[in-house]
Amino acid sequence: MDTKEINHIAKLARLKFDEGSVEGITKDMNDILKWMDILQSADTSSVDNNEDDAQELRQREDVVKISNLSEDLMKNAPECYEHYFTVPKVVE
Amino acid sequence: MADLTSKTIAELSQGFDNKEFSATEVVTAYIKNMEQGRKYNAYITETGEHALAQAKDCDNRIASGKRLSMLDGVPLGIKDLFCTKDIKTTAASRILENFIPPYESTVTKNLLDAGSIFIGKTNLDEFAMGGANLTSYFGQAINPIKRADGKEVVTGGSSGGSAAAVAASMCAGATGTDTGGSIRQPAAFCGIVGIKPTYGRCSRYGIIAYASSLDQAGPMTKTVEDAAIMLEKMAGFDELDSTSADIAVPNFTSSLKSGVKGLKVGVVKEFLNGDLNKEIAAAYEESMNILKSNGAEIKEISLPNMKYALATYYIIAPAEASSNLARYDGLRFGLRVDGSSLDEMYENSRSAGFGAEVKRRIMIGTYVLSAGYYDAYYLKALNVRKLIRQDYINAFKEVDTILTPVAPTTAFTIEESKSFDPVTNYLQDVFTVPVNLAKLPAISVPVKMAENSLPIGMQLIGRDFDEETLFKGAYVLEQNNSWSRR
Repeated sequence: MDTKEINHIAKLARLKFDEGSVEGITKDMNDILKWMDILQSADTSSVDNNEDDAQELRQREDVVKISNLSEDLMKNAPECYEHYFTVPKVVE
Repeated sequence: MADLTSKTIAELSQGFDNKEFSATEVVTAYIKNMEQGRKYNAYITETGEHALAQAKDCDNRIASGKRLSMLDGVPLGIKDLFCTKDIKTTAASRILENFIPPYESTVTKNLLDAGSIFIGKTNLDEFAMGGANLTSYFGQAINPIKRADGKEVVTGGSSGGSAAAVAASMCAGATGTDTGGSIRQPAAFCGIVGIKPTYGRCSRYGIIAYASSLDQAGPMTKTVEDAAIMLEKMAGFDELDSTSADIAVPNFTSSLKSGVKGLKVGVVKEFLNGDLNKEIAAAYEESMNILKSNGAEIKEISLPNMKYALATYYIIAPAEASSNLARYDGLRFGLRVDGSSLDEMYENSRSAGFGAEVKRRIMIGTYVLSAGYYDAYYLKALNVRKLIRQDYINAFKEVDTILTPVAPTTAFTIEESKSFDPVTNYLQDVFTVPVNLAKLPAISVPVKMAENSLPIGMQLIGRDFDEETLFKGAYVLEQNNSWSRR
């Protein structure tokens, strides 16, 4: 991976690396991915891709309950206006 | 009232029953210890005042002979990854520096319902990502046990603050979480007991998520019995976590002391024939002998796919983390750093709010899930994960539990850790990570003091939902080893 690819992944992850740190993360990513190459030698031909071994996810009745009130939730918002979260302007 | 903080949870409970001391006295003694132990940086937030208020209620119940459980009046440290209503919860991250949850996690709610007292929120690696408590935004925790050369060593991680707080008697017990060893390894480094229960045993509701298919909560305590007491209350079905297991929680404490006669204990061929550190190998053998002389049968087993476990883990965990941590966007809660557009605001907030290791894992996770790489990395890792679990299922046809070391070395110094690159750090998790991938329970118990005077821990791994066997085995190891008798 080169710094161009790193910047692309960073963009997908909504992260930014400045010039001082992009080299470091590029080296780390390359070292880590190289180390993961060992997996390619694992024989997974016997594994059924379609078989999901996770327990079946449970469903529950849709019952109305009082849970978090919006007022409490809004207390942690960095910026809000009345009952709305505010964001930088997205339409001109 | 000397030495209240040296008591185990079981001893505190008995003392409350016999009215030997009050919960207020116990909490006061712990608060004093916490003040003296601040050099260990075990707590991010101390909640002494809140604890004293809780103690008053406990004392009323003690006076009327109506204690809620063995945990009633017992002061606990809570890893700062559990949401606690109206008490700041940071995940040791700048991005949640001022976050005050409007709700209570199920595990902490269960502990409160049992009458336990919360004395503070413990330090950890940022978002539980790390194995030495060095990635915390609030600074590293320090191991209360010093190396023979007088040097300070790391606590391990990610539940490093919880381990240090228990080891230094700054709480009677603590909660931890374990995604790839984060309960068991710090327990081993600090000379205490920790158990990662079976996936689904404890509810994940309200625990700040790192890797949802691997995360599990568990207790960290001075003794095996205390771990059993705490887990009984922490565990249980919860409809708020769709992966919570609807399986009754056994009475762990009642079967704890029944011994290991006839128990079949597996020891791993690949580890015995591998390049184990000499002292760790000696402790491994000593532990086998303890179990054997108590009537257990030792049997060599093979786990051929273990060599793939670390790479598998460091694909799956970051992949899930990159998705889980997408919620920190500077919008609804947490740190916000403004930008000229919405995207820039996201990027600025996340780049300023997350530390280097968290960013590294988000980057790995984003990469292995991205178009063109998904099959080669993520899907491959999911398939290898199945092979790893199958290894254990095969082994458990022949044995009841598997004994392995917890960590490849004893605790290291902070200076030593600075020379580690990310891959070297990840290699520390070689014995713990496969257990999370297989969703099995495992307990970590200190068994021996190394020449450098630091503790060495061993782990017992069990079948799905068979924590009972682990407690029995760990109890025998605890009662017969040289660390506990030191």
